[in-house]
Amino acid sequence: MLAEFGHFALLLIVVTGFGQAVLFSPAWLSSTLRASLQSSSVSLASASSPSGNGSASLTPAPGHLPAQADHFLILPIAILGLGLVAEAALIHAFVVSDFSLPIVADVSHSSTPILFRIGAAFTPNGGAMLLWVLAASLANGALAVQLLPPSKERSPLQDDPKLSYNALSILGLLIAVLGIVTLIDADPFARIPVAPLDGRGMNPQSQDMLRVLREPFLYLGLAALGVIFTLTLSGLIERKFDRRTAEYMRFWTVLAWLSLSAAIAINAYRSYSQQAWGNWWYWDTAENSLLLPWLITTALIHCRAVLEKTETLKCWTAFLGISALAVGWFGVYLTRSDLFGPLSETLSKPSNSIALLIGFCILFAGAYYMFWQRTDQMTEPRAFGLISRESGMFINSVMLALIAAVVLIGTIYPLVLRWLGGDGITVGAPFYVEVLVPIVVPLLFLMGFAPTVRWRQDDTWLIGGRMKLAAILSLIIVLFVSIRFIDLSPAPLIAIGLAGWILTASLSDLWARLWRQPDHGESKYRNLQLLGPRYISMTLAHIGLAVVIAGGAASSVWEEQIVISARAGQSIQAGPYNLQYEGVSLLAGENYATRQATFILYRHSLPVTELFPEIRYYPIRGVETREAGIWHGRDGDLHVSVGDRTDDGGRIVSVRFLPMMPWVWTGMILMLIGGSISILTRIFLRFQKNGVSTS
Amino acid sequence: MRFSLAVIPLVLFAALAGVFLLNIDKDSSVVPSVLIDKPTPEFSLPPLPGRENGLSRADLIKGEVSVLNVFASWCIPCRAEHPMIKRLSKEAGVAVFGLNYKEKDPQDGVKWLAELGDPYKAVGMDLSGRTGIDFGVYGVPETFIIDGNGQIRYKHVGPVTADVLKTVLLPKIAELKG
Repeated sequence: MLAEFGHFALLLIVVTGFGQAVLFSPAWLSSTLRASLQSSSVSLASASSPSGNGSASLTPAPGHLPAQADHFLILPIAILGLGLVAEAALIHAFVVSDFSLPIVADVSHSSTPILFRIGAAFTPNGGAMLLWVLAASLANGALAVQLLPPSKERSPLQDDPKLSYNALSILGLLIAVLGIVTLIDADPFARIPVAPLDGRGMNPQSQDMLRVLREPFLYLGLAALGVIFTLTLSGLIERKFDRRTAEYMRFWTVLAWLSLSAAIAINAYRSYSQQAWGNWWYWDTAENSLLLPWLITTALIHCRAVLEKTETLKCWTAFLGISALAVGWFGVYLTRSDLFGPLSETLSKPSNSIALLIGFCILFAGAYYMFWQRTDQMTEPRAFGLISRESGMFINSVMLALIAAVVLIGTIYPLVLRWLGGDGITVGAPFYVEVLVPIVVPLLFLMGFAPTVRWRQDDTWLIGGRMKLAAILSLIIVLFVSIRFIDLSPAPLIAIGLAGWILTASLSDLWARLWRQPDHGESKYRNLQLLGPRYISMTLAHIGLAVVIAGGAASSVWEEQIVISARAGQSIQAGPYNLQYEGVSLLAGENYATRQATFILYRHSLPVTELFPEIRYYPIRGVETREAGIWHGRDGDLHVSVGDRTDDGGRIVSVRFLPMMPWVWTGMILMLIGGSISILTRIFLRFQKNGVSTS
Repeated sequence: MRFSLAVIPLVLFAALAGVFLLNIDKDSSVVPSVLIDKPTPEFSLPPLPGRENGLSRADLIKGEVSVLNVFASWCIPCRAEHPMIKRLSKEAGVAVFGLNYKEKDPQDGVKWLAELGDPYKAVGMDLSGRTGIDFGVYGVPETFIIDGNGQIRYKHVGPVTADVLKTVLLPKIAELKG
């Protein structure tokens, strides 16, 4: 019964979404409706004046009724409430194992632990789409609070109500489209008359807390991209894609970037630990579909800052603002459809996701059409010099977009070739490495010095002077590494050099700002305060990336792998570590049986810890998964996994020592902290401002 | 004036959307191969480092049904399907050959097999991907069923799942064996 309730809530979301789209839209319909509903002082005569496309010739702007906007705030709140109800209904169905819902029967089982039954609600097609709808309605509510000021107070937004109304209208439409797509493609609340006795069980590869957490982050990121999309479009419609729009977009770009980064980090750590092959990036479709929106969002973060500061790069920023959601949506389509055959991620019931594709086509055809129509009338108020912060940011974002294009081509090229009936190349890591290196190397070089370049116009010699220290330091690092490891091939040396370059450049810039700056008689602490959260989060994110690159390069070069058939009591040497294999015991997990091996880890003959790699067998699906045992040490990760029994009575043991691998994880965490600082200060300031204004 | 650079995104998007919309009902996992019922191409591949036997066409025309599985250490679905390939070599009673496709480092394939187990009767190492092209490989993993005369009789694109193994590959092999 509750599921029908959820079904109805989902239907209502579609209706309310369309309602929001209509009521907030500036078309004559909404003004007439408002006029009749409120019986306000707006004359019907002016409301019914011919207004062809609604946006251009609109004189009686609904923005002249600031007080009435409050009445419509009920719509975003209603959508959010309905979204929560629908999600709660679905989770309830999973918790009570209501197998008359095919979605529950497909990915859950009565023996699935309760936490994973909740988690299983996010993984199948219908559940994931519903999560997207919920995330979008959350973003919708937040955007409404951001754009529609409380009560009659003047806020900067009321200077420009049309922009906010358009944005809310488009977001309403977006939610309605998502709702329809969910209902058509993979209705999570569909029922079958005869329920199976039990379900088919959760996909064992998804049965992990981190893996389950990935989905909310991914869809929160996509929802934030949806807000960016609507703000961009409404800016285009109003021909007001300026500093103000960029300001609104700030929170959402950082939120999208942060959520997508978190999803990527989780994905990387999962493939590293669970799949047990010790690699953290594989260029498979699911990973690429996360990487694509992340790349565009990263480009957008930089362009948006330029737009806010100098009101230049309007067209390019608008293009990125639309494209970020486009590639995100496309990525969801690629992973949710069965185009690539049954990916292990979306194992259960692939569907063709036609509605997802058609919704995508209609929405973005409209958006790109609007982009085409509006951008040639956009003016860039001032130009910037070739050597300036603006041009640095522009080049950087173009490179990021290029990388995204390469990843996109690499992902769909085999598919398109297949459709054309031809056969040809297979795209895997070799392709990406060959094509991306020439783009990534200059990008990272640029990343080192671009933050120190001045706005508008700068001088090459001055930049050179500022970067002197970093250049010397990174050269020293390269020299040191190349002398210490004489037979190192150039590729990892370049990577380490670039990582050192970014790291030293960021730190020396920080140093200059903290200590070289005159402190005006106040303490140096004042300089730290003057830096601001933006600068700190940028620096942290840049340093984090440098650390990831250094760690990734070092671990791939100096990785040691030993695969042997080990007997109990045998000890295995890997790097500075020594592993003693103690044997395998058969244990029962909650819904799986596991062969758990025990290893005692010694470092220079001192015991450090015990590691328990496992081979789990999930009887419901008849699937085996492997969990690696991992130790994050000072000088590297020790990664051990076990395999089958061998003929000579031993067991396959694969031990990897990955030097500097913890750097990769630390770097990712640094990037996430950087993003969080920016978000949290933003939220904090917002509440502080509200608190002041209401008191 | 109207036709500025800004139209490019729309055009590109339309092209991409068109390609996907036009192919909406094509089932991509059942791919008609031009090679079906054709003889296997001539090839001769070196063995993995440290092994003696490579793989060549002579291995496939010994008068018995055989299976050729294309894999690579950098391919995730290959890992996913590997237990099924092991089952296949145990249950089907045919020789399963491996084609190790486009490794960066020849050692990668050796390590991979050492870790996951080696169900193959012989493995050929196709570093350049040349033989893969002759076989019309467009995405690893792919699995070919080859009859005793060296004719390719069936081709499966994508990972072999338990379902595929039970309902497609094993019956097909049984049918060919007669």
